[in-house]
Amino acid sequence: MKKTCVLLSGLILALGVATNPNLTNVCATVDPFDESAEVVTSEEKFVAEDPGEIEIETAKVITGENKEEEENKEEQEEQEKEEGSGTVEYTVKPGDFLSLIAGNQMGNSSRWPEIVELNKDKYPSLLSNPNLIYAGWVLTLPTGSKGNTVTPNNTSNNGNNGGTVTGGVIANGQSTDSSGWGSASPCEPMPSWISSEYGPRDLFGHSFHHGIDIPVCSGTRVNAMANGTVIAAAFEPGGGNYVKIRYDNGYETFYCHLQSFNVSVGDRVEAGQQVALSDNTGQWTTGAHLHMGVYLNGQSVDPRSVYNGFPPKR
Amino acid sequence: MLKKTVLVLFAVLMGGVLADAHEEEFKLINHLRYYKTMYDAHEADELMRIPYGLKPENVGGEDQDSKKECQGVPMAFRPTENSDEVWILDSINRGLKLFKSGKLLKHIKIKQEMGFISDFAFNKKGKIALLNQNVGNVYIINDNGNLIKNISGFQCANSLEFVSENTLLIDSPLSHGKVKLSIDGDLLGVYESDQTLSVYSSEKGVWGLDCYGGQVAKLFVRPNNGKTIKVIVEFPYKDYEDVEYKGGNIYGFDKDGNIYFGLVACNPEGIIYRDRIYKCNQNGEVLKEIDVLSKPFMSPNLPRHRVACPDGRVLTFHSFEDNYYLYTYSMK
Repeated sequence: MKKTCVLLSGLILALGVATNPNLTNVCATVDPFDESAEVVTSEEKFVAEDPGEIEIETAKVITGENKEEEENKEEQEEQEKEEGSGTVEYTVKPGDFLSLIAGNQMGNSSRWPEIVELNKDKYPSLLSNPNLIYAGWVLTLPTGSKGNTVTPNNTSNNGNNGGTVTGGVIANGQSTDSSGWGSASPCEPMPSWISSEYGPRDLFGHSFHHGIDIPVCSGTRVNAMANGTVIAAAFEPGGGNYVKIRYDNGYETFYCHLQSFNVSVGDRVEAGQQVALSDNTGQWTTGAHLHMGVYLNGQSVDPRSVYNGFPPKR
Repeated sequence: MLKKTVLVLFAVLMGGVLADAHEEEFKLINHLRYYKTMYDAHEADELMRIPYGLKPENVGGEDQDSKKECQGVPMAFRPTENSDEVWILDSINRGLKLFKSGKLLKHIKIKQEMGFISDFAFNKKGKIALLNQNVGNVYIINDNGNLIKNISGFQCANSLEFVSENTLLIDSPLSHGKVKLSIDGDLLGVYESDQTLSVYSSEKGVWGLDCYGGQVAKLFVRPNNGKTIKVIVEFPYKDYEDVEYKGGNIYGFDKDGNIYFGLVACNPEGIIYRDRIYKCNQNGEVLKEIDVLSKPFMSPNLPRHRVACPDGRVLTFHSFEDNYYLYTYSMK
């Protein structure tokens, strides 16, 4: 019975391929694994430098002893601000970056950390990546700045979703991000359809798909989507071989069910650089494909909302 | 037309050939494809189950998808000296909770301003280290949940581990390795490394597994003050030409100082030929090895999926329907 089913399946599949001209035949155009890629041997990886002392300029320590003092100081500063003549707001324009805004609006480009401090609640991503701001953001600047929008006291500080940057912001404005996001495709070639979209679904008992499934053959090239750093490259039973990359713009991509990866944790990657080959490893796979998830601040986002290079929805 | 006919016939023939070749060589167990060499592997034994929910005796909260794939699954778990008691990091409900047989024994509340905590570790003197990988902070708290220290600079850090009473080892990819940090906030050094070096350390040094690709996996140690690694023992697996090691992890030590780790080998199609847990002494002598069937998950953000218990069992987790499960593999 089993053999009959398999034979029938093969027949149906063959008929489907033979008669549907719209399916892009990605298999025929897949390049073989690029053996000229740089390979680091185990011995080279592990020859270590002396672990000396490392200075981190941004390290900040708040001890139990001075915590109360710091809190009182912050409260006092906030009170002084409220008593001022009003907030100064600045609307980010394409091409802006924080030190430029600080220089033009506050008279000193090195005061950009003050902008982060004043806006961290409205735009929490500033804490993790002050390099990334979006055209259209309304930043609060210190009293005395020039600004391009002036509001009276007690103006409510409306953020977007409590400060969470959503894909809608990127779509509406031009990013000042220099990570190269959007310039590289997650895989090559990209097929003409997506087999499983982000969002609710019911497959193997999972009701929400936290990524997007791209139907590509085993051995399809998988790329970094922007400049960033590899933060995980490992195997787990569920996802099989997987790679996680943290990009300079704050996004992270998670690729899994891979055949292999040619990067290591800590490696810097560039937009478009090959990082892996796709396959069918791990659990919950119905055939060779690339599963990719996009994350921001630990939460999954719809990949379509942050990258417009996917094929149209069916 | 002729071309299409040939194509169809070819597909039919191939279907028959493939059916014969694979029908008895792999099967689905726990939704994973295992080769016949794994059919008699050990299943894990249930240790306890804890219902999902918002109450102190629950974990994971309620605001998640019904199958609790990975959003909401507790981020980390660790056994105590009594291996039947397990600390669970319930990040959603903001608490560190000690359970035994599914009953809540102790609850340390995590302050809201610390955000979403992704890992934790205890030292032996009642201090706890909490990691928020999104913001990049390491919080040192006491067992009442009160903050002692806040150390920043560890964004995207994957995990942390106490290597001595006052020293942490933090897996920090953005620092290109494992960072040695005192709980006073002093940076003591960085071991430049990739994913092969773990955060587990003993008197011999920091342990690692070289097991990504190839047919020989190596357990090695990097001496604390040394420059090069020392391979302790090798594990060749050359029984099948196209089967290679795909990964592995170190799970920690038992109370006698033996080291526990696992190695996974697959063929190019992802069929698992080996998922084996090893118990070795620190001289490289293999004391016990067992093949195991995994409790699969899709949770790349968890700092660890298996942990060695002091009594020699290996603890793992699973998420199914309305409960969070803890399981053990026995190495006896």
